[in-house]
Amino acid sequence: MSKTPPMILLVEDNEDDFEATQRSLEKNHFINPVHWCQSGQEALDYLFENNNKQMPDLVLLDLNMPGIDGRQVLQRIKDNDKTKKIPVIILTTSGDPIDIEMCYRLGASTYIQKPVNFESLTEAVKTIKDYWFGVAILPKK
Amino acid sequence: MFHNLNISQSLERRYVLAVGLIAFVLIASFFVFNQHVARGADDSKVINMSGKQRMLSQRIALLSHMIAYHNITDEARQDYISKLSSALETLKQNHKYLSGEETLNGFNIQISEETKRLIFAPEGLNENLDKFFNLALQIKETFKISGVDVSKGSKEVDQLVALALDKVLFQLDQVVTQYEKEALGRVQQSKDLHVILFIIGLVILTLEITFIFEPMTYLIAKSMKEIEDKNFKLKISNQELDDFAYIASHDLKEPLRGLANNASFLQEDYGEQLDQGAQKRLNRMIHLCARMEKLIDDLLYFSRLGRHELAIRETDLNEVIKDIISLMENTIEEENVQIHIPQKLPTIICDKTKITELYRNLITNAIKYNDKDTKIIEIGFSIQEDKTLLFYVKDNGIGIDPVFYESVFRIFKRLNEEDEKIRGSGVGLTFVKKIVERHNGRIWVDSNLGEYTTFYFTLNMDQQNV
Repeated sequence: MSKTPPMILLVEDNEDDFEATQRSLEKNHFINPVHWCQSGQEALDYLFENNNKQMPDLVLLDLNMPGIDGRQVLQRIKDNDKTKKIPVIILTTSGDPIDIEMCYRLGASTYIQKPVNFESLTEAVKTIKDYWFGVAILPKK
Repeated sequence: MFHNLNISQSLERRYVLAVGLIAFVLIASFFVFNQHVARGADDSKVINMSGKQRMLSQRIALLSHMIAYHNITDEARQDYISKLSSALETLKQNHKYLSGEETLNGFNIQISEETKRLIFAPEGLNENLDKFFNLALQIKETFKISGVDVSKGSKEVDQLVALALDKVLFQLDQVVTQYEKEALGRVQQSKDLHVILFIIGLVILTLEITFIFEPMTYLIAKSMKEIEDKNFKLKISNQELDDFAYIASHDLKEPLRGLANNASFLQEDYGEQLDQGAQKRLNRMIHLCARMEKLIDDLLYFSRLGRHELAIRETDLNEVIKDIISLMENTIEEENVQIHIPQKLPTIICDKTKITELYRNLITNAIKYNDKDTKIIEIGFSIQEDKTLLFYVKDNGIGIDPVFYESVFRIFKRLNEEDEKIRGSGVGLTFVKKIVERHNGRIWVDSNLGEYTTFYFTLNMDQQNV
């Protein structure tokens, strides 16, 4: 386990959705920092432009965003040696089988379709937190 | 389309015209042929008769000679004389027919002007035959008496023989030749007419090919292409509709999620400040958001049913039903459901997953809309007249009013909306219908209120549809 507390990068263009996810995390007592990128470009900048930034332990990634979308971000993360070990969890509205297939092929760790209902989202986030920061062993930075 | 209508109308006219012309040629051919045969018969009769005349003239000459010069018994002479008079009679009568003086019962001998000239010319056949007849009559009279002296001969007989050999025979020959010539002319005429009719027939056929068959082929090809185009467009627009439903419902989810989230945040953050009434309304909003989510999910699923390719394979329906029953075991026990399968179900070619979905929906429906203590569901099939299979799922449930026979299959149609117990999103039957339609089938309902409901459906998926 690394000494710095685990950190999440949340890539989400929709403010409501961001708030919902963050609240879900809080509700599940995830007190570690969550860095919010509001677009694909912002996420790429954070990950690749500045070496001093703390690398996330987990990426929660939305797929449909204007400009550079989640698929491209996922591809860049998995193509780069520095970032490819980071588990990426797709959290999206899309339930299109093509998207699901493509994301797993690109190297996504999990694919979750955003529930409409906040309670269900909280449940889903709890599962993510319990698994990735409880059961699973994350790679060393 | 309008253009085609014109073409087909003018084609119709051409067709009628062609049929009329062909009928005309056929009828004309028939008459020409008949006339040809009848004329041929007439001509041969005339030629035959003329030939007989020559023979008769010589016979009369011979008989006269025998009567006048041969030393024979009276009895034999009398016999010759009677033969002579009968030959004379025939010669006379035939001459009347052949010269047009008399007609032979209904049979009309057409004597051409040329022939008449030959017959009635001065010193012609007619005159000579008259002389011939008179001489013969005189001979008959002279030798009628028994015991006539034959040693001195007879001037009349000499004249008659000379007439017969020198003139009558020759002139009769001429007439026969003339008749023959004319008959041949008529045969040639018939032949020519036949050739003309034959050529007209060929021309009509050629015209038919050029002006009817060719444009018709073009028209058919064009119509086929139009139908193909329409089918293609229809397929595209169906596809677009499914795509639209998918995209629209997909996009609807995002704001809905925002709505639901904000309602939840409101409840969490300000819940304590709200009174019971406001709390209730907020809960209602969250509940309705969840309900709408379900509807959108159904819509998405429905559009997927239309979008996705079917996975066609041989499927044993008994297995399908067995799987469903085992999955619904709890419900079946709780609701006291009995499932009857009167005869072993067939193995058919279909998309197994979708057909399972179909039966699951129908069975769920049969249980849901049923108020009996024991809920009986019968699953079966029959073989129709055209050898295709007719499947059915029958229950002893509340039944469906005939007014709703059509609308039960419509998306989001709920017949018992107010009844909490049986409220669903109401798309089950819409899925069923879509699945049946994807299998080129048809579904319909038969029911008696309070007694039973039967859903009938056909599935026409064979290897060639794969």
